[in-house]
Amino acid sequence: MATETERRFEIAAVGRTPLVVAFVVVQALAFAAAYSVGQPTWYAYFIVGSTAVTAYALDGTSFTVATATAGSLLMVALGLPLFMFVARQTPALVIEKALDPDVHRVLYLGVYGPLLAALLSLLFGVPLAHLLAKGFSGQPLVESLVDLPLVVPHSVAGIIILFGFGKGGAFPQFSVLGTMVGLVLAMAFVSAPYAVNASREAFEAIDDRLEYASRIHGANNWETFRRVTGPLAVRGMITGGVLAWARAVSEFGAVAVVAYSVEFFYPFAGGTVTAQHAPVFVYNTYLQGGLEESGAVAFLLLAVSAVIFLLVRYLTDDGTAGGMP
Amino acid sequence: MTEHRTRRAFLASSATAAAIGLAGCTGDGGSDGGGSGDGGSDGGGDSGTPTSTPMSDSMTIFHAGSLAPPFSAAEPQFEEEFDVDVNREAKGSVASTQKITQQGRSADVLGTSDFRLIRNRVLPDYGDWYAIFTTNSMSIQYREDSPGADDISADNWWDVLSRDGVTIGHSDPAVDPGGYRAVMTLQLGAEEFQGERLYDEGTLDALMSNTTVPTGTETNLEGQLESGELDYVLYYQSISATSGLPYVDLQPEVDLSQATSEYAQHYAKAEVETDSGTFTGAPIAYGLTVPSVAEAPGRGAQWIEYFATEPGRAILEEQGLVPVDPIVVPASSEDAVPDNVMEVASAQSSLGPLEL
Repeated sequence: MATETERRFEIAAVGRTPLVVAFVVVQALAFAAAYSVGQPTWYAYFIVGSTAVTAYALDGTSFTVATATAGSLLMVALGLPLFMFVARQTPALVIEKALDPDVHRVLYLGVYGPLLAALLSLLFGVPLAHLLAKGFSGQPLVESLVDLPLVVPHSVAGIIILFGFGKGGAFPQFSVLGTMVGLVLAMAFVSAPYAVNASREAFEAIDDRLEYASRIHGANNWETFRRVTGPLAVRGMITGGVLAWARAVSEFGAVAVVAYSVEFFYPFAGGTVTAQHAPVFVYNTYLQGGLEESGAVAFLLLAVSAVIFLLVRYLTDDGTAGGMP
Repeated sequence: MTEHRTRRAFLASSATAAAIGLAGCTGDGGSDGGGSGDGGSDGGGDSGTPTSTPMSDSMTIFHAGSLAPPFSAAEPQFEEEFDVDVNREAKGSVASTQKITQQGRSADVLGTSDFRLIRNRVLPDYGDWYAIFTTNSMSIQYREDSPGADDISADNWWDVLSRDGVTIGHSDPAVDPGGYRAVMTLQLGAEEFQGERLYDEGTLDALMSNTTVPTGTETNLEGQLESGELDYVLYYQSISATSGLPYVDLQPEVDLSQATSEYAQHYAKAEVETDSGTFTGAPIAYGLTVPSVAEAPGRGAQWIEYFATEPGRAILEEQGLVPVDPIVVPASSEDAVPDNVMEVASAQSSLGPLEL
């Protein structure tokens, strides 16, 4: 798969970047035109049509055209509502919200809290993922336990955290209600499965013989992990971390129950402040100010998240393989 | 081989079904949005005989979370008696109102825990009238092992709640009427009523410093109380009376339950400032309306009539609410009220000092 892709890219390498830019520009112009005449439906057809034509022009096989066309239908479902959401924003309102110090705190917490949750998930999730990839007896039980938070309704997840770690729970000395600890725990509960599963798949994809070779050459388990399996699986870990982070950013239900408003250290104020996690804040803005205002805040959150996604991809893309993080 | 084939056939048929289902989605997608806005004429205009026109066989109700117990108790009886399918969506009062005013959605009944939400936000664009049909009171709920639970009574709750280390929770005043009413209750204890007050400013400050806002709407408070994170919560008596945990029935001068002039003037001394505006104390008065965007306004009016008459009132009482008898509609919009509701309602221009 990888070699095939690379060969094709070599052939088309000359015009690849300008082609991407041209495609994006054409799409943007088409969307702007369709949106400004009040016919976003036209753009939906345009995505599908233009993708099919481009696929045919670049690679005339019916298979590629079919996969590209099918894929573009999903892009319509995912992309079109987002584009329309962005186009609907009032720039003045977005700027007003972008300059609001309360919104800064919310965005800081909305990035920082999930980051802690993702790091926590990785710190303890990667060892677990390694074990799961190796296999052990009773593994299906642990696997199910890891996946279970995915099906728990979110507000129930919040209640579970409260009862598990609250004052009446396992660690009565900690307070989870309205604290950073509670926020991170609630986020980790819903996002850790992504970190574990993505890391585990990365470990499973590594050829066992590499590990044997490393052991034969005298490396112990720690060294093998540090020099062989760890580096080979690092992309999977980053993917898992990004997924866990993103999942935590979007979490509303569990956070609204455990940490509705959170007291945390805010370096720009040089002390502790109280703010709400971004989705909670967006919802409250909707209740107080309506769709427009909450849309502006949600737009800012989306923009910050998009920048972080691109940044992570840029930093982890070493130029050789074109796969995920 | 055969197994493979059947499995493949199954997958193919379910994929087809899913595709048809997806295609079906596009059919009615648009009706929710812009189209519903121009249904204004069926709101209160056709106050003819609702029995003679064919009634829709389903209806939708948006209502406050605190109306969920009485409404869900009434639903089966109502459905059987009137042969209609009732769909209810419980959410905060503000969120329920905004489904209609912001999201362009349609409901046949809107029920809020503060009628002023309907008066100020729904009228005149999305409705022409409303009815005040029940009151409620504030109460304090606790666990048997809450600190001070052994000592607490209606005569000393402020002493127990103002002790060091006690945590009192209520919902967010900025987004939930239950939240600002909880703060009003605490404030009113320090205001004189008939020459006496329950406690002084120092106690009020101690109470306020023990208070935390751990949730937007009141629905999470009970869980947070039971988990041990909160020691006492302030919310409606309709919730505490049906929850199974112990609670304190508060004095009428602080519980916001009395819809009389004397009490209403006292309640108005409380004032809560929030990010979404300043709220002034008033008796808790729940509002109902049939929005002008309703698709089955006749059904909506039937629901309101039901809660204005004996079966509905009995349910309200069972659930710890205090029905207003007869229900009150504003005199200024009397003409817009459907006949079947007007027959069981009284038109007034004010409720105590509350302008309708």
